[in-house]
Amino acid sequence: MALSGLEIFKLLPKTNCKECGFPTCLAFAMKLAAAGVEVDKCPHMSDAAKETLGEASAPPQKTVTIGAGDNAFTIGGEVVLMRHEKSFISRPIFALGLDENDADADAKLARAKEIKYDRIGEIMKIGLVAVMGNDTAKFGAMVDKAAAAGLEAACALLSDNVDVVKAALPKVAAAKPLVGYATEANYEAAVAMAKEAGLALAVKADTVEALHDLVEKIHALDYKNLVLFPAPKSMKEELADRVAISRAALKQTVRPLGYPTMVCACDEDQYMRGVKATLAVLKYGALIIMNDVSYGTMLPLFALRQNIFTDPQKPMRVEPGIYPIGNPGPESPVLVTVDFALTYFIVAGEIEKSKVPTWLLIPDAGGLSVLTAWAAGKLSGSSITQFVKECGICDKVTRKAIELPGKVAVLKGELEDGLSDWKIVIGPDEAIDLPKFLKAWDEVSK
Amino acid sequence: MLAFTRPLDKNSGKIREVELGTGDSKIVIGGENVLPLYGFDGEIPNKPVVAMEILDMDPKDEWPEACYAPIAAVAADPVAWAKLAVEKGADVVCLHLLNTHPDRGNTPAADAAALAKQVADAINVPLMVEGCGHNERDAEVLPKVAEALEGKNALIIAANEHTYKAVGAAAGLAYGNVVAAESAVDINLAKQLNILLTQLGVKEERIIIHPGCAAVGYGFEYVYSAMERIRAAAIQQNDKTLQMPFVLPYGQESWRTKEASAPVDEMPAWGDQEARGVMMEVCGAISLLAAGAHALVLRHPSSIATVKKAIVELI
Repeated sequence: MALSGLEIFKLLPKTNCKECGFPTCLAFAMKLAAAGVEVDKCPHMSDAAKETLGEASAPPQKTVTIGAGDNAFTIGGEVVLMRHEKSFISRPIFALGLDENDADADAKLARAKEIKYDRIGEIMKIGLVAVMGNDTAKFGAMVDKAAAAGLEAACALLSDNVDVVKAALPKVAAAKPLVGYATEANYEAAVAMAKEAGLALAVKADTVEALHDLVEKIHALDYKNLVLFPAPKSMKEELADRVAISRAALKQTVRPLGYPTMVCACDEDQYMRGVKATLAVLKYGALIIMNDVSYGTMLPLFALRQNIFTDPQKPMRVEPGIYPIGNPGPESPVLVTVDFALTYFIVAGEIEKSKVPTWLLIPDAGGLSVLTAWAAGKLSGSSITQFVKECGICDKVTRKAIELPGKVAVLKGELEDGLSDWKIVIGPDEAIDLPKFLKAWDEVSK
Repeated sequence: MLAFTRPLDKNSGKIREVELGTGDSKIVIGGENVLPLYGFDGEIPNKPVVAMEILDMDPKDEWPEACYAPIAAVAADPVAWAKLAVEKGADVVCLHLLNTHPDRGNTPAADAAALAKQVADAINVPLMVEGCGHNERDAEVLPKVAEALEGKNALIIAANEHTYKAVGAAAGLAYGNVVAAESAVDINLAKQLNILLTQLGVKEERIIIHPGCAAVGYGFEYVYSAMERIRAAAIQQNDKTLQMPFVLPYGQESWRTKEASAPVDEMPAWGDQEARGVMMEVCGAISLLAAGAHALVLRHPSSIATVKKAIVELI
């Protein structure tokens, strides 16, 4: 629980030595309480006091890193329950979960490996492969199989039996896997294993209450590199569990629940599996284990994750540049829009629908929509002129005609001055009318 | 060691119950005093409903193959299509009058109204009727539709800032139907339109909020957060002007996306079009439920079946 300024003051030397840069210990304490200064600024505080303070000012949900090298990722560190309150922080990781008895594992691994989707500059893939089971020989064989499949992913070794995990661990130790499960029955051995190898540990219990108590015991063994796993139940109960964990951690600073949560989005029906994964993305899942994946059905989940984990203060942008759509040639239409990702998607979608090959030009417009960019001076006659001259489109087309979004038709005169060898064509106000407009391009661009 | 108890939220606000349909086919939506899906905090007396979208024209040339195939046999006959929707488990049928758009058939208002009446008489579930989205035509057509459906308690989609007087007065006041108030993905705009409609004399229990819609991956975060903020205001801050249920015509947004509509020969790596098209629709629908949707309009029978199954398991 966060401490008040007065509570912090009691832990300070009360010498008013000013070495921290503040006139009095009380002033420093007040600043600490507001998280406006580091504890270390006070050179005379006792170690015990520092630890108490460090603990109190720690973030409400820890971040946990799983995997090594390029395949490493960090989950957790969330501070709000609703994205509009500030922003969600760590994109949840989609994982393929393989039971040691899964006869279909080869095909599943092959499907998972195919998935590599570039969506507005972000590469989306399956981030982790988890092996689950309780038989040393079968478990080890499945770990070998998963490792040999060559996915660019981290891994997890999950069993109720610590010895099973220990036996398989040397095979993939360098990949810094997530290990588990620590349960009420085995947590001492599980913590010892994770501690020795410096690995994140998945903690499993049937209820949130039991999970809370189990993590307290693990804290007593001084281990805090944890992932929570409330045991799978009905969708409704699982959602209730995750809400309870997040509320307790973020609103009440209940430390034993201040860790990222693992979710099992497993179902034989691919659509119900998608339902569970969707809810996990929206509601507090950090590591989402799916018992099968396919490229096509992962697309919406990636898109949803990208949307929901966008900072509401910073709209998504696309890189400025020339975007050729449908293999355009020297006679094809040239369109201008802005680098606000939403605008780009809508405009590009309508161009694709028109089936008219088109050059789409995206100048730097500050990531704003057409009208907002214009109002903010980020999309002007001179910025478009400069972009057209410098981006290289002049070498790609012979028909020098360029469409200007209808909403900024007012820029036409300025553009005609700047691009005197181009014909400036006013396009529609709304993207939905682009197909009709493009089909008439030969007429309007003459 | 301190025993842990789950933190629960007590809320002061409650969503209004709104009835759709009449007699044996009447359904009720809304009524909960908790944030979406959070039954553990209080009560969710009514389950959200799923409607199937049917058209007043054959969408053969427009809908992706995977979306069209299940309805191909009835696509040219809205009444047969409506009956198929009920057979496939739709709680509500949504007749989308796309062909009233001037760029399409520009169907006369009287014809559109007659079709709406025909469909309503052929089914034993409530009806929604959605306009083509062209303000002038909607303001002309939807009042006629509301008149033809007098007393049916149908949902008319939608009244916006330009059309609320014509559509709101006819649907919500004169002919005993329910009106969807559509605004552009913003809590203040939604609130303002609700106030305008109530000032016109439309009772709160005859208004449903259409908060604006977008597909997953295409600005969905704005829709999601606008809905979350509206629900927080209604439930946690007890803002009476925002305590109406939500309707979201999602299928039309979803099937327009590249993920759902690209044929396999264009995107071979993406695989089966039906699987990804349905998953796009399901993923968005479930996300909208999590943000508070009470009525969803979808297209594919498999999406409807999956979302209905999820609703039963979640609420």
